[in-house]
Amino acid sequence: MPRATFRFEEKLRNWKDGRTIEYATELIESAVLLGANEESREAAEYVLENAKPWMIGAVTVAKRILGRPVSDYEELLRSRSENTVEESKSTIKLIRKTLKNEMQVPFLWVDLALAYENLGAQGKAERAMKIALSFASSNRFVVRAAARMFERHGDIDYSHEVLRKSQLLLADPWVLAADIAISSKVQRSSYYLKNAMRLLEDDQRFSPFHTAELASAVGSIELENGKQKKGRQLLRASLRQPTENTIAQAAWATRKYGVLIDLEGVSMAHPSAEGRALDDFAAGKWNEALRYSHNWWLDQPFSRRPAILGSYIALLVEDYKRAITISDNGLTPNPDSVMLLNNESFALARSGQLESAENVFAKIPRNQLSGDEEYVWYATSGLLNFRKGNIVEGRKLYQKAIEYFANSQDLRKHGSAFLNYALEEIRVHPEKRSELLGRAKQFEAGPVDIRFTLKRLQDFNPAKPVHP
Amino acid sequence: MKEDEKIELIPARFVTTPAPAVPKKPRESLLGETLYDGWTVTQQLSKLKEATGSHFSCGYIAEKDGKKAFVKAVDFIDALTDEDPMKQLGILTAAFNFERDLCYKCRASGLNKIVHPIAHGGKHLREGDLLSRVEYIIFERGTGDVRSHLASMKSFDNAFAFRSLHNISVGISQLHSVDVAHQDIKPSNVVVFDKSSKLADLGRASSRMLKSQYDDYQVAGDCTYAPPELLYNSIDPDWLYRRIGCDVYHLGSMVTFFFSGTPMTPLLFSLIDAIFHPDVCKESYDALKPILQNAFGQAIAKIKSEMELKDKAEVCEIIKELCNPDPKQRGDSKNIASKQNPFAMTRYISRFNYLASKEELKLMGKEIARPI
Repeated sequence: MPRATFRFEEKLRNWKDGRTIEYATELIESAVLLGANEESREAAEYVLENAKPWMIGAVTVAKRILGRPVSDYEELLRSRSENTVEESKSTIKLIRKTLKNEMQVPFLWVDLALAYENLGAQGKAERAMKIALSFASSNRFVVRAAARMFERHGDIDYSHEVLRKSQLLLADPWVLAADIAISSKVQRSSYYLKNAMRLLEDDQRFSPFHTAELASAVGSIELENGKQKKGRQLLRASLRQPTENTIAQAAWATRKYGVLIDLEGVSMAHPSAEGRALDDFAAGKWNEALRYSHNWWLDQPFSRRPAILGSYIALLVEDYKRAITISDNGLTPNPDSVMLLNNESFALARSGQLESAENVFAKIPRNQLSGDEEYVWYATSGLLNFRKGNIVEGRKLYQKAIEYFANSQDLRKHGSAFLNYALEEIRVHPEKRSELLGRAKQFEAGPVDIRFTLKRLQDFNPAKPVHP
Repeated sequence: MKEDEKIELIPARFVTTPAPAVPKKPRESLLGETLYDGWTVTQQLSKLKEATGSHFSCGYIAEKDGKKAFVKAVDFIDALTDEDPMKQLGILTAAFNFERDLCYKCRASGLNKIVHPIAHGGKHLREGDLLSRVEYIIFERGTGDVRSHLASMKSFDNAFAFRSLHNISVGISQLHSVDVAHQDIKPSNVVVFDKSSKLADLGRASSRMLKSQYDDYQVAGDCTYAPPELLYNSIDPDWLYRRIGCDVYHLGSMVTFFFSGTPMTPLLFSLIDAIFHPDVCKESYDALKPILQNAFGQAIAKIKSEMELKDKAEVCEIIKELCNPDPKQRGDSKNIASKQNPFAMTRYISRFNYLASKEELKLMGKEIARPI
């Protein structure tokens, strides 16, 4: 069907001949729809200088033409702050100001939810997210953000419910990918795996960009199930037009399964901080890994993962002050994170702040720990006892953890438990150095961070301790 | 940057290299001429104004007995020099006749909120030269359009705004009552007269009784102000929703214009990321609705936050009803709920009348009770 035009030439001519506020506003009104920013720049500037006080809409259009923020909130988004707590508070204030005048702004409710989450206000975050869903239950961005948030909060059932109620689950590869990824994280099988396979194999409606995350999620499951060829194939497909998540996932798969996926030349316009942090960690580049884990945290301040990685690296390089700061930042939106509490307690103990270490350690819900978490607890408890002078008790607790991880064949955790124990033992019994270093040799084939810790142990001189 | 490189960066549709000097066309040469019934052309308003596709008109002011009128003039030069002159002549004459006949029909039906024609006619500028023929319609003329009127105000006049909106809604209702949809309601087509505002330019209108070349158009009026779904090619086959619904959206857009300085569509798209704009984004309208709804909510919040008006909630509620990005939710909310004609203007006419009267009485130092 034909359609009439925007009459841009006529309006441009009128503006050039007339230079009035009427002609300027008429011109920019068409320009903002046509993307004719250059041609209408002068008119936009004229509007900003000459607009009457009530012409808030015309001013908004003019600002958009000139690439300026059109609201205080947009201005805040553009100015990256290191202080995410303050930024979250400002975000909440500005968004609530808008919502006071109009509630049906679903994406702002999502931003509000994430800001509350950053401040640890989980209840308020969930309420805001539910309001977002009530306005836009069929929008993939809102649905995915909601599902991820409830998953982070441990409410997996509600997370799945959000995805299912959206009516996008069977038709939208992004939503399907979220369902599979969430199911996989909690070791459930998604009901929709077959749908996902069918969509990836047969459905020609979607470009590789739209199916990237789905291919990545299904590919990861195939790898976990031992189907290397299929898994590799799908992960390669996910890299044709990748997202941040798919690049990070492919890098993870390469590390975990030794799956050879050529990431050379795979890039987005802006490589993800997460991906780079993980890559640099795997390569033993601790400074770079720390820097990118910090950027990753800035991108996702509500997530515990960048803080866990960052605090762990800081502990590795014995920058305990930094480990404490990073853990604290991560604990604000995730106050119950066992690993973050553990890492902070560890850092405090190693830096001689024993009472603070015990206070933080006491926050770990002992009776809710499961699997590995329980034995990490034993190991750190062992450290605290060593530092208190309860050597026998400390040794016993470390032994428990070491035996468990040795049996589970988790070389990283086994190495970590043993090497940290060895350092504490050598501190109080330097004569045991040779014996312990001999036993530590088994970790020379371990992951890069364990090899680094081993080197530190080998260089450790009990007469001149680096830390108290 | 070289000059030709610079031009390449600008899409062809709005390259503005200066036109070479060409002889004036008959429609551009009416200044000083005497038209039907003694009307004398005293001022040329614009050289080029898109009229019907590739056919252009010219605007003038004519005077008689101290009164002024607006003249819209067309000629046959472009049609006759086209590759297919018969086809172009057919388009030109059909469009001209449609607008002329519709205007007279509105006058005959007593639609007093539509700008009326005073007369029409034709003139040979050169004796015996058929190509110098100009056809024209003479319209009643106001003091300018609402955009220039608002631009000249030192402080915002709520009474004027609401009374104009009342007039516009009456005008729309009058047109709809004779099965005509205006299709191009925008600030430059709302003319201010002494006591009221009127709708002008029926050139893009759609009538159930008179066929127009724009009947097949997705967007008949200026695309800048079109309802968003039309820009995304989401066309309702029902004439009521497609054409009458467009006028209803335009009314809400005019409310937005009065209280924010710009109509709704440009404001909406300035709040949406460019990657979702119609010329770039190929997603279905249904998929895009939440994005449009989000921007719409922000637009309403913005307008409401800046309005210094006691009735701002009422005004914003009207905009929300009339400009809802979901066309099926657009219109009178009570009528939608009771499955009656959602585009009936009755309640909007009375709401604007109430708001206008309230402000007018305030100016006179009086108060008004809200009608039950």
